Amino acid sequence: MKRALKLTVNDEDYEVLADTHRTLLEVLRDSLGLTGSKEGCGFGACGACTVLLDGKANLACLTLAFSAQGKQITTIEGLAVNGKLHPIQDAAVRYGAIQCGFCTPGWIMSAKALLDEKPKPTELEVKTAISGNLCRCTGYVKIIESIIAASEGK
Amino acid sequence: MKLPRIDYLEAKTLPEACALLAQGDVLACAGGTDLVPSMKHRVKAPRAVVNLKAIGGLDYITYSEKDGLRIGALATLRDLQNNKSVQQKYPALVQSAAMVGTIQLQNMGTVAGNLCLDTRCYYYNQSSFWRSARPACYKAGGEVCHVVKRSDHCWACYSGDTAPAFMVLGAKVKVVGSKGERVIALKQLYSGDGQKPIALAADELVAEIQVPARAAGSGSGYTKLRIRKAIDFPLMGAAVWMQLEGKAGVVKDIRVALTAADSAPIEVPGAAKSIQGKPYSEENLAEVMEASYKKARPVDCVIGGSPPYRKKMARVFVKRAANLAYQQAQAK
Repeated sequence: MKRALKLTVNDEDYEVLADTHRTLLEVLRDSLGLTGSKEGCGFGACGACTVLLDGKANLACLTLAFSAQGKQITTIEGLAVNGKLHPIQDAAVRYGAIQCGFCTPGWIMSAKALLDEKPKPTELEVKTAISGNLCRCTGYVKIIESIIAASEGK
Repeated sequence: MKLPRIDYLEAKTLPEACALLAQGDVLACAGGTDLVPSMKHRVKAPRAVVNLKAIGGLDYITYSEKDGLRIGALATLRDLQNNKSVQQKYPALVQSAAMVGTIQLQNMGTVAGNLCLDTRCYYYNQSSFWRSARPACYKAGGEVCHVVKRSDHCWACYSGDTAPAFMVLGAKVKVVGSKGERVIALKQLYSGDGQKPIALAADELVAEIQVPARAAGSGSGYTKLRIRKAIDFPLMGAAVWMQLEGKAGVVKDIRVALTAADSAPIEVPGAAKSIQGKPYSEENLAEVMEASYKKARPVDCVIGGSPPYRKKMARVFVKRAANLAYQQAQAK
């Protein structure tokens, strides 16, 4: 059953008609065209669909789209300002923390939630924060290095 | 994977939620981290879900010496870990909540929802296509158990992390339904039946979790066996609460509970007898470990370890949890 759905994504208001059984990820990707967030496992294990709801890392693949109404949703598309990359994105590029790129939007959102809460995290805190984001390319070392570099403004 | 066609309902109050649930074929959804994957797998396909998160004022966590700890139905696993009183008084709750899935799942999932976690089995938690290769099992509405052949009931494994921790702390839950409310010991929330593990009527919800104030000289700990340091459900989990007395640190009382050991979180009966009145040490804990080993009856329904290995690990993880509990108990 289609109903009007109002979402606030990256500080912009959207109103679309959506089926009540759509997940937030489906609406972001298929209705709003925000294809940065990815569907990996679709079951909440891999973290590729991580977005921020009211500043906290959530899994868009397990969130019913209608339950995200009234919340501030931030996706990877909302990080760059006027074409200038967010420090975490910038560090990811410089440290070679991206290989195939499929997990990248997810762990960058996890890292953003961490740095917003704790601007100078320890290595263990970084590892814990991204423990819900699986990456099959990098072996995580460069991801961790890049997040720490971003936190130190390097 | 897509969700089945379901209607989306919202409740603004608990009575409203119960009334919607009473309509039948409606399921409650708070964090959705357990329900949504089950719906994607088509093992649950209700007519509608009620989003409980729209109910205001239910995400509280309060502590007082008089009332102990009170946790509202919508407090998340992350809220529990970040609460200062919980950190000081109940380390087992912090440890267990921090071991649930991932940060994202802890942000989404509620404590009450974690207590009401459905049992799991690798013949059940699969897509309908995968499951179509075999006759449906008891839990999926069939007449057979693929794990324990010729069994007359379902053996799916209870895999919640926080339940044993709350259990050893003597927690109670306040249950509300369309006919009123009741307060029950946490143990009574569990039926022990893998097929319908949570002993609540269709229109009932856990509204609050109540934990007695921390007793002087007591401590608690939780730890679990898993393959990875994140994401995984427990293969065996143990929570221990103990109370010491006197300068020598003599054990006054001890409670042990296990998860991933049966179709419900289980308390190890008579754990205290063998160690009461003796100073805490791993030697004096031996009988408690042995009783835990005997009580655990894991079956081959989760991936990651054979049942005999997981059963043996009950000893080890009870010891580790007891060491954690002892650390807190003897600190003050």
